[in-house]
Amino acid sequence: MPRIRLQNITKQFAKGSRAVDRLNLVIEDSDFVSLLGPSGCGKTTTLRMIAGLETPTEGEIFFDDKCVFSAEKGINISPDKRNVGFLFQNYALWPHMTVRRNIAFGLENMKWEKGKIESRVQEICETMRIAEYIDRYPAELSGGQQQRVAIARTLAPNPRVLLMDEPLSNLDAKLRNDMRAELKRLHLTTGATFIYVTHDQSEAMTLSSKICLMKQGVLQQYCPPLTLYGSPRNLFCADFMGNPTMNFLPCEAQEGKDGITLTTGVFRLRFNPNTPLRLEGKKQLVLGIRPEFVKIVEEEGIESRVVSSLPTGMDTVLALEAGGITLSAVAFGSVDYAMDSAVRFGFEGDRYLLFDAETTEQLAMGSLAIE
Amino acid sequence: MNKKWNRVKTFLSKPYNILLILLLVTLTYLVVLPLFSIIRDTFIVHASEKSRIKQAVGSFTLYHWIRAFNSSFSKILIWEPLWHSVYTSVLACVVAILIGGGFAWLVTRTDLLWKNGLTKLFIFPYIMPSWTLALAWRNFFKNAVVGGAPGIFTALTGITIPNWFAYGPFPIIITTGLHYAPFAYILIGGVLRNMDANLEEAAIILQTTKARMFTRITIPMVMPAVMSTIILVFSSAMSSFAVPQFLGLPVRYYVLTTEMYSTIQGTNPGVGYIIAILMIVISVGIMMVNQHMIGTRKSYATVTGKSANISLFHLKGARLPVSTIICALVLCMSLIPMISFVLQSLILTDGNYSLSNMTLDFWIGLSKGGNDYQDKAGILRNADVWKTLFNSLRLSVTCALGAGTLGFLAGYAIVRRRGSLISRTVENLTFIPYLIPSMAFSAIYLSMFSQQRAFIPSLYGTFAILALIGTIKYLPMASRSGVNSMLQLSPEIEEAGVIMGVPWIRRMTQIIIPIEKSTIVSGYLLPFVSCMRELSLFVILVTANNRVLTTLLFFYDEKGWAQYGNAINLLIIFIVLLVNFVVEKLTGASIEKGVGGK
Amino acid sequence: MKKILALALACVMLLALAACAFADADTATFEELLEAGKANGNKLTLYSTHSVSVAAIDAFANKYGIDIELVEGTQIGDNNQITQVATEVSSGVSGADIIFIQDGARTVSELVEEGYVYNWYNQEILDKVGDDCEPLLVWDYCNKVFIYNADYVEDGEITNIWYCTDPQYAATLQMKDPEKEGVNMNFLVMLTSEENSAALEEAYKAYYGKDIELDADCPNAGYQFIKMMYQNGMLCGDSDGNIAKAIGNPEQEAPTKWSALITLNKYVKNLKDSTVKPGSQTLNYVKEMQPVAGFIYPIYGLITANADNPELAKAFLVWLFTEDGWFGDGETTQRDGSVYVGMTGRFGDYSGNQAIPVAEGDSPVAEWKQVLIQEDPIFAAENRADVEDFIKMIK
Repeated sequence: MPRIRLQNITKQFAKGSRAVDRLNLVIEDSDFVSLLGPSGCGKTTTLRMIAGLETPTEGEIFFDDKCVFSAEKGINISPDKRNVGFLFQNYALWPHMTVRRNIAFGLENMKWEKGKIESRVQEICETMRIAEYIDRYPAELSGGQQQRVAIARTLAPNPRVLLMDEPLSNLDAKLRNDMRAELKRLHLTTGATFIYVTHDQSEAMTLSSKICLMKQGVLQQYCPPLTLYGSPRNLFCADFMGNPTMNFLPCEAQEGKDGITLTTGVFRLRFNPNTPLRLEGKKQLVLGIRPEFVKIVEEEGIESRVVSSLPTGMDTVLALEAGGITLSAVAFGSVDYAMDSAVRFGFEGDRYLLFDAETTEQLAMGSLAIE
Repeated sequence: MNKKWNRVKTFLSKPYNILLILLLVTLTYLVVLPLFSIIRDTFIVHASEKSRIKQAVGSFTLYHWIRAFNSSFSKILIWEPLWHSVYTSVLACVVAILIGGGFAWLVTRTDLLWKNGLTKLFIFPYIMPSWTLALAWRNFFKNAVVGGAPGIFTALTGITIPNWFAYGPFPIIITTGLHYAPFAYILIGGVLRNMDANLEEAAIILQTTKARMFTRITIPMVMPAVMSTIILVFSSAMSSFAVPQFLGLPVRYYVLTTEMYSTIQGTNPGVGYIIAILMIVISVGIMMVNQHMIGTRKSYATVTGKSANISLFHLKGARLPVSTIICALVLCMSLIPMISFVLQSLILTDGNYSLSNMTLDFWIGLSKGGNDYQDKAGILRNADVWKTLFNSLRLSVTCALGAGTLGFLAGYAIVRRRGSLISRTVENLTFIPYLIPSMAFSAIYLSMFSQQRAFIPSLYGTFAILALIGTIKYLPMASRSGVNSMLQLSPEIEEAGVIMGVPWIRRMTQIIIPIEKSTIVSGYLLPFVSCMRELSLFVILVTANNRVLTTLLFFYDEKGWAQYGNAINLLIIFIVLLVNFVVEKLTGASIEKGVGGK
Repeated sequence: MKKILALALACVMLLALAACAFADADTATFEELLEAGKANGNKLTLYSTHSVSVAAIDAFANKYGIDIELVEGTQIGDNNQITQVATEVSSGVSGADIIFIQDGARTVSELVEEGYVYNWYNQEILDKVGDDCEPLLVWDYCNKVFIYNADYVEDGEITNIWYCTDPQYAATLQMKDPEKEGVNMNFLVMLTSEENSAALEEAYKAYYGKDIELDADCPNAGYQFIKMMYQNGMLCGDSDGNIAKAIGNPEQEAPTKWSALITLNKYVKNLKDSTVKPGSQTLNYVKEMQPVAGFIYPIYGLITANADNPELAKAFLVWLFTEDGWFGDGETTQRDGSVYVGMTGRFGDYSGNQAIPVAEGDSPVAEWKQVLIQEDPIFAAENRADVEDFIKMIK
């Protein structure tokens, strides 16, 4: 299984906008990498460039050490020679062929023996649990079944690399969850490299071994999902990941002996960085607090008013107002709070983040206390 | 009893019910009854058949049926023209699809040069009257053998054109095929343009070769569009009259329509009516095949998707040559015919294209008396031509208003009562005229309305019969668009008016009509343009006092007055293009959209 | 049986027509008719197969101050005209007052016999036209003769009508399609009459030097001639004018002995040294030919049964037989402003009034009648369907 390396990949469309800007990325063998970002961030374009469906304007792409694309050397290996599988958002099943013909078509192209094709089609259909629909036309299948057929068609030739372009976005919520589990299982059993495009951060979180978060064609952060969640590189990453989203409190900083004092509204907080931090005169910062780190406490802490309470049964998302600042918080367990009732909250642990308001870069992670 | 009466009252209190009943009665009278009338006509002796059948005019006879199907004349009267019709229509389909589909592929899938201009010009023949290319062909390739002086091609090159190239099936197939090629382009190009590029990309990834991709993916995907093109081109070609009349007759190559025309105008109209019935049967058959095919399992409803940037097929070294060839072809279909009409309308002596042989007299000159070439005034100062032009415009406006209004009301009433028997019946009735080939339809009206029927006097030779047949024949176009647009308009919009007690007329004029404005306008445009260039629908109904431009052209052509004929042809084309252009600018509706392109 | 019956019917018709011959010449004069016509409203509608009569009605209206807006003259081909007149009159639709029509066969059977149009003349016409007032009043005689390309066919080369069947002239003869133009069909029908078929038989012997042998499907020499002519590749053109241009085309790839049976009028129009510009062709025509040199057919002037203004129509008819009506008086103009010249200088048109001179260089109608077949409308009507069917079969 190959290692895929993108070097300085740039895609410029005719109208002048840069879909992808000098992207460097290494995808290790057997990784499950998600390309994540809001729409128009260049993730689909990146995927299509890896497949060879789109031609980059600049840069090089390597599969292992073999160069499949190089703008400088004029190399451009066509998609059919890259031995990749591609799963399209709308499945792209050929409507005039039965399920069987859809799956067998690619194998025929690869000059498989007839008997081998038949047994492979049968096998993959059983794996994907679509064997009973094998002689139907795509139009006669439900969305989920079409999805399975599309996956079966893509997997049938045993591709070394499987590229997926938002394959679950056309499914309803329940099916989507089922298919996620299915995909994860497939990743294990096939051992292939999966590259997966999505705009849904929770999908990326749950599936991938690594997430590549992009914004307007530029790579923001490339790391395992929990790292991205816990230690986002900048405000965009922090904001994009997680639901409910992170609380951002703009504040003024003052370096002291035992940490940094942050002033936001009527509150003064003390921030203790986990690793030494020098502000070098920076004053305008942003404090990032994940909702789950706004702890509801019985005593002490800050008193606040419940603005809204949205229980799901497993947890309850709260909006709390204190001193003109609204924070979202998560209370675990089956609890509900009356509107306008008073609760107290505090801080705990060392996973609070400090960002530079100007550059939006993360400065430090640390613990927080009320002064 | 009272309950029943109340039910009737409730039924009639709804304006759309009254509309449906009125439509039902009118259409039964104008569409269904004539079908019976024409059947009756195949069993009686007509005036011109007296010396042939030797029975009193109007008496019962089986002569026509026996002669048509069980005599030594069957082959000449029925089977040969039928075979010619089928043969030329099938091959015209092939030409239309190869040229139109090929062009669609080149435009949507390759880096062909000058795409913008080429696509605009390519649509041209479809806007023009159907015989345009046939007349141009004759102007270019006529040979001295059958049609006067040789054409432009021989004059330029000195090469004599053989008969098979100048007349008969070959040019009929080519000109008909080219005329409908734009249709194939619009339909197939629409599919190619909107087709999900992923379908092809999925195949690329699965290592499909170019050839296999084309035959197994691209072609099957455009198949439904190809099938609709075939159905349309085939039935249009089957019912086309002008082209075989201009190009087939000189070598006695008869198709059903021309045979029908010659029998109805000649001494055996009974057989002509039988041919009309035969054509209706064929046309209904085609529609049934079409219906059957639509109902198959392979649904293509999901064909369209988000169209990514499809990578274009690079023609590389062939780019310039291919583009040049296509450009030449497109010019041959669009601009060069016009040039030939201009030339032919200017020259004094046929076959001589030198400047000294040219004159504007056929356009603006005075008549020089019966012994001169120029025995009529130039068409722009010829009172007959002006009268005819005015009549054409009057007729087109009447038909457009008639068909458009009726179609809109029918659409409204049909949709409001959708699912009921009466609504279905009316919907089907409005569609029947579409199934009846133009010339067969006019044969029906000739047989029906040339006598007094109940309180309706004979309409023969009147403006009314032309207006009536035009309105009914173009009704399907308008009612289709009426139904479709009303389906998209939610009934709540009108119901809101009902609740506030707004009367029906006000609901229509203040709510529905303003909303549906653009559909209504295109419902008027299509009949207008069609009527302006219609020949086969009117040619056997028009009398000397009620000529329209197209039949005047036909008459001049029959008489061999080439210069006047070409000038009139240009006049017709000019008007059609002008109207099309103006309406397109004003409303955004266009012929292209009308035929289902996107 | 049917045939005999029909023949008997035709004889009765003929007798009836003959019996009333000349007895019912109207006594009304031109002036009376004109006055009565003007009093009866000014509208006059004419259908005609001949362009000059259309021009003439224009001139007539101008000359006598009839409200020109209301006068309509329309040129229509014979087939259309018969259908139109029959339908209009039978269903009571107001159409033409007067028609000028060729194709006697269909005119007699479909219009006269059915009572849709009638024959009319007054003493003034009778004095000028004489015998040609009956059975139908002849306004104009037209002739169609064999015209050839004088560059490739020598003068005097064509002398016998059977040349049309000679392989030497295969595919060189042209004629307007008889199925499209009734007079041409009538000519072929006339060839099958007893008299003409006998003459054809004789001419056959003179041409081929042996007695004619009839094919099984040919009842007489007339049919045999038609069959052989068609099978010798006769070309059916769409108009006499185009045929004249085609056969006279000066720049021929392969010199061909073109000839055609078309109106003498088209011959003049296309002649290279014609006084009327701009023909360019070397054409000539045959006047002496065994047994006939072509045919001559009348254009009849008839009044419709439902004419709105028969008086004015009749006045117009009377005027047409005067020299002014035929040639124009040199000053009366037409609607478009050009001076009406009528038949001036026109070859191949001869007034029913034989006192009117023919165009310079043309022969008088009496002379033509000697060498051409004349149309007998009753015989033609009777046998038309047979010959049409025969031609359908042999093509």
